[in-house]
Amino acid sequence: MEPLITFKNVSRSYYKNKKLLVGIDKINFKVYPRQILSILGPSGCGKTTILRLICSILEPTKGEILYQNKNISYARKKGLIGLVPQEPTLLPNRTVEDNISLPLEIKKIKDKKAVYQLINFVGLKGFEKFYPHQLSGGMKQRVSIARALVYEPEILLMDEPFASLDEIIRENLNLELINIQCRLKQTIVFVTHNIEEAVFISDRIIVMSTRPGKIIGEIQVDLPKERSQEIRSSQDFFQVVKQIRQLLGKNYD
Amino acid sequence: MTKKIILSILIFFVLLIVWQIVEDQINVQRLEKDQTALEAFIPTPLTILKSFGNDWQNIVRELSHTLRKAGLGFAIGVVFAVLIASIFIFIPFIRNLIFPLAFAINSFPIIGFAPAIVLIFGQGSFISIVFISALICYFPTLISMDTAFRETDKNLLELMEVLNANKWQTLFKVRLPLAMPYLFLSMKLAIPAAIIGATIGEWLGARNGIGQLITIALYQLKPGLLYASLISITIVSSLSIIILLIIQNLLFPWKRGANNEKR
Repeated sequence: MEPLITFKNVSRSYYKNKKLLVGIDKINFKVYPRQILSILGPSGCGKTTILRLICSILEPTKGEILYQNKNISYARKKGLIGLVPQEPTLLPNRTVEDNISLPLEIKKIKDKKAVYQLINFVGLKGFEKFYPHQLSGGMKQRVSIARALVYEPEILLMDEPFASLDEIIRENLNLELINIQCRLKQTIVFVTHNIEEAVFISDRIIVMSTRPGKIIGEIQVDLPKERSQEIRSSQDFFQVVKQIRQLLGKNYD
Repeated sequence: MTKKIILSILIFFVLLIVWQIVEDQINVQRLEKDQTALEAFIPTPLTILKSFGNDWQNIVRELSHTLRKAGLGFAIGVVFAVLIASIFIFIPFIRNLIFPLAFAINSFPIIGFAPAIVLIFGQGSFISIVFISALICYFPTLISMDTAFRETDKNLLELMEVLNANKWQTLFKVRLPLAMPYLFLSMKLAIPAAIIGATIGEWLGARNGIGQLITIALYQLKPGLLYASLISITIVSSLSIIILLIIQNLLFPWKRGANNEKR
């Protein structure tokens, strides 16, 4: 399979209090189309930096990032990237439907059919006219996901999207995300610090260590593509979780 | 809630009655000794009410003159503040150049410069009074809009960047809507300031306006009219704030709800 995104020896350093710090160091990985790739690691390992690099909000200090065989900035310019930020960051003055149609307005797309399809899709039917302050945390995050999907980007970047939600809602949204991906076939790069979450949703997991951010392992998750909550208590699931724990443990002194 | 309101209205009236009785007593004693009674300087509530009765047409007419000037000044000040704050976003270089100066000017008592402004634009002229009002509204609004724009949610700005939004789209769809609570807060502070500014401008010699009426009342020793004018300014200022609140709630129903949710 041809990779969609390729990181080649990518480093990113930055200045903090006039000291040069290495955020991520010589990162190499590939993102394959129509897969869910998780980037897993402790806080401060540069997970979010990687997403920002894919969005071309940041530029690598060294190395290069390719979209197919073009520079990564091509992907953003062509509107191939959707972003789900850590917090839902909805506009408080817009209703659910208006929040979701924001990207269409910016791209000057008149046809709003996709908005209502997605509202159905993420289970917000009946809440079209609600304002963000009338929604629960989980619902807000669904709106945020719908907003990222509304212009059908090829790549969906998710930055710890469920981190601020409670465990029960998180597990349900994990499953919904998988179902959405099964139908829409997006390529998803999912950043998280939750091991179970990463194992549950991913086809592949990249495990990172902190300071400087380095990849310490790549794990193929061979659980069945059709997932249900039962998988969480299966032997195979625990096996992968254990494998990651060992990997992370080795890198902590 | 309504109990509290009734109670405070009751206390207000009790105070008025006490004022009336106490001053009546003092005035009776004074009148025995001397013809220049205290009433010449502090009117009783009844005198004020009587002045309202006699002069309400004057008061309303002059007030409407003042409000026209204050309102225009307010509008100019606020519109310019929003425009300049937006320009700061587009061209940060200009912000670096101008903002420290604006911040410094904001700490000046602009009212104190009213005579200088009157000197430039002409004593009592329409423009000078509009200008004073505009200036008073301009700097605080500029500073609060600048703060609002700079505190726009970074995640949303990043999202707009990923969507390839241009600066205009970011301004109109994200920055301005998110700045609205700040704008209304500063407008609520600016509108009484604009009215006071206009009044003071008129003190310095104007052909009309409530400020001129106050000067006349002062020099003709009509404390009833003086107090009536001051009270009418207070009422109009409060009303304008209430109108702004109503507009805010009509335009931004989400603001009310968001407040309830947070606190």
